[in-house]
Amino acid sequence: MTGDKRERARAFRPGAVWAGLVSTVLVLILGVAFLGSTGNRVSGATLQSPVFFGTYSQNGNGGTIFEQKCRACHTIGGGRLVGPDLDGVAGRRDKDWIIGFIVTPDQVIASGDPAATQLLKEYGTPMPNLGVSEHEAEDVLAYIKAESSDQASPAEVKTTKVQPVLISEGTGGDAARGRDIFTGSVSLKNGGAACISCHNIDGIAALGGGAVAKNLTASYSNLGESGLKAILETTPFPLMEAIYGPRPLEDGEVTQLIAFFGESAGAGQEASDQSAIIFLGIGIAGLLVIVILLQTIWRGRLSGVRQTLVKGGSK
Amino acid sequence: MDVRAQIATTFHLDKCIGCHTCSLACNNLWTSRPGTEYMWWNNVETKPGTGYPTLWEDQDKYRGGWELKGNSLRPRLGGRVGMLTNLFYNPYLPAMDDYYEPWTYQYDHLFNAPQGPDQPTARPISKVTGQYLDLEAGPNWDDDLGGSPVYARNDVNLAKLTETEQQALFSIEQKVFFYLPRICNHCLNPGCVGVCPSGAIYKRAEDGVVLVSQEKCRGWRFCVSGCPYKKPYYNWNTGKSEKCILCYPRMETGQAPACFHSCVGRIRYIGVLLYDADRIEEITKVPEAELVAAQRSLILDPADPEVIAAAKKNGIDDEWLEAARKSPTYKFVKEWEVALPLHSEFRTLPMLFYIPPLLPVVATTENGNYNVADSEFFGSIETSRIPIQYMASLFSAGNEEIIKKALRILWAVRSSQQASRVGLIDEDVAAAQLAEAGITAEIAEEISRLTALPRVADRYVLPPYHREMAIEELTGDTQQHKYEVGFGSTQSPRRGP
Repeated sequence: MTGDKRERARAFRPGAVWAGLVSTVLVLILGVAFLGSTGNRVSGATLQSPVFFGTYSQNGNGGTIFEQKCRACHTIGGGRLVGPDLDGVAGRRDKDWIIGFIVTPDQVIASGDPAATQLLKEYGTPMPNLGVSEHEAEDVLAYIKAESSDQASPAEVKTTKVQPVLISEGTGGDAARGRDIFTGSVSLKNGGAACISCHNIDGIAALGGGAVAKNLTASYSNLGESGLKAILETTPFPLMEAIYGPRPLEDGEVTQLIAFFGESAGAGQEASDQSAIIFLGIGIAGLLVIVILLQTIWRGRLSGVRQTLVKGGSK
Repeated sequence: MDVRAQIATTFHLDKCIGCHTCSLACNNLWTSRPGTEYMWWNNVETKPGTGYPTLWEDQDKYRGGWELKGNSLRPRLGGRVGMLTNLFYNPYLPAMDDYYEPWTYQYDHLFNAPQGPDQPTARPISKVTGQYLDLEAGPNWDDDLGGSPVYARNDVNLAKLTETEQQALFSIEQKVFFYLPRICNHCLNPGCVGVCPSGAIYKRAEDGVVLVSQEKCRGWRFCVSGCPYKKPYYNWNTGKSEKCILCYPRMETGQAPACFHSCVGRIRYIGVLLYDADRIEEITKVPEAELVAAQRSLILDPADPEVIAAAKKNGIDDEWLEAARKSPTYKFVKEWEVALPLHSEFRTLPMLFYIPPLLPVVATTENGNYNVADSEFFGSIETSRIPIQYMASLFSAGNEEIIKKALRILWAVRSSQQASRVGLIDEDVAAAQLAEAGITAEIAEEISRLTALPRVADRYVLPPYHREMAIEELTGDTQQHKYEVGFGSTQSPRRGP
């Protein structure tokens, strides 16, 4: 029939356009908010280490890299810390093995390499992957060679463990303050993310801390004060480097955190059991709340018209 | 005056024998595809009964249709905000069990069964799970009052009857039922269109057929809830809703819809009605008791020169006007006022009208003999086996006067025909009944002819659609598409296997 009627029937619907616009805007706002929140967590830093990558060509880098990434756990001729003393390591081990171990320690250990297994057994803490490239590893090895005492033989390697120095009242570390720093109740001075974002310590909070990185409950007994201090000051791991490289921890903060780690090292296990129960409790309570809420909101919903009739029988 | 045309239909319930041929014709033509197993665009219900899906008339449960709040008409399903918050979970949808779990039979077992002491049988298998199924619901589970203690007893239209009346209705000697065939009403104020979040449902401008655009539909299923007659169905296979299309491809080629064409009892009439679209909003807001009369007043006289002029201005051509003047629906609904809309209290202005049944002769049995002599042969409408309140609840939103008037006319027609042709009733009695009904003997004769002796051309008065002209309007110069395939549609048609 008529053209104008047909057009009316297929008329352009402004309502639909508005609905589309509004939902688009909503999605954009939510998206931006989401990006913004994650950005805060990682402090806007890209997950790269601009200091080292691409600047490996100079042999002289070896020293810098060693200070940044290795010093926390290793000495050259200073005795064992978390890991072995590296004095003369070039003489004890095959060069390729050392390079391979520095670049991808996790893979070497996982491959069941006998030497690596033996080291793990002896030192207890596996060496983390530090994001060192092959070229950088060569620089580091060159540096270690240069620093090693000239005629170090396997027999002379110093194996005395440097004992972790326990925190005494006098060192100025305030464990309670350290706890606040860890949980983020007190912000880090340079704006780094709170430790709890990625790390957990047993009993730190009902829902625990982050699961991105290691549980630090046993960190003090494993690494000792000097190990912790070195790690916190140099933040050698790739992820930590990305977060704390531009926003380093201050000396006072490091001391307080170490005091906190030292304190929580003992109380770990018990708190862990408790937090599991609390976690379960919160889970069940939350489930109940959601179920009750849904039942209340949709209490008038239709359920089984015919079944109800049949079960009810005749009036 | 905004005159529009509507293809409107009339079902004569006294003629329906409940054979379900219409349902099968429709099913064979349109709903024998995957995803449509449970759909019955056309179904036949036994009344009293709960229908399909179970208790579809109970809008306290399904929230279909419109309700008058103050002076505004709102979907019972809720306002915009309410519907938006329920968009991903509509709490008022009928579940599969309220329809039924579609099934087939394990026919191959009849041929492949190993030899054994018993005859093999074909057990029912669910079309949903493929497992054996204990049948406990079907689209006609309460057919012919089957399971009436559960189903017929819970018919919502019985609510206004007293307990004694209900007892009487279900006592063994008084048991009575009739059939109610249902298709989409192609309403003037459709509930499904009103609640569709995608704007996918529309009413065709030329003939008022309500259709779901399969391209725009996003499967929110609000039409399933919004339609108080539960006639849109969700196709799980395509993820879209589907409904009766009044066989528009058949109508466009001059054929009556399949359910009409196949009707054994010839109960179905189809024809054009002209109505005033400007008054729709006003009509939907009148008090319940006045709804039927108001809806009638919306229908325009196709012989009125003023209406004809306004219709032509709206592009309704002469052939459609001619069809409107011959329309059986116009006669039954507007001229004789015997055809009534189903559940007009849903305020959707349905365009399918029912002529209520007179039901059988009331008689008594004595010593095993059927005795009609001690009462008037056809009794009276007051002693009708189905109470007037029940009929009023179905067909006139509770207004008993409208039902009584229609039944009186039908009664008078029957009596006058009995008097003039068979002689069982006295001519004077018949004349008195005609006078009481307010119709002349000529009109009674006309009603009788269209009821009992109609030809195909009397029942199906379909105007030519002139699709060839519509194409010119859509595409402009037809020469432009010479040597092309089709008429410039946006996608190539899908061929069957």
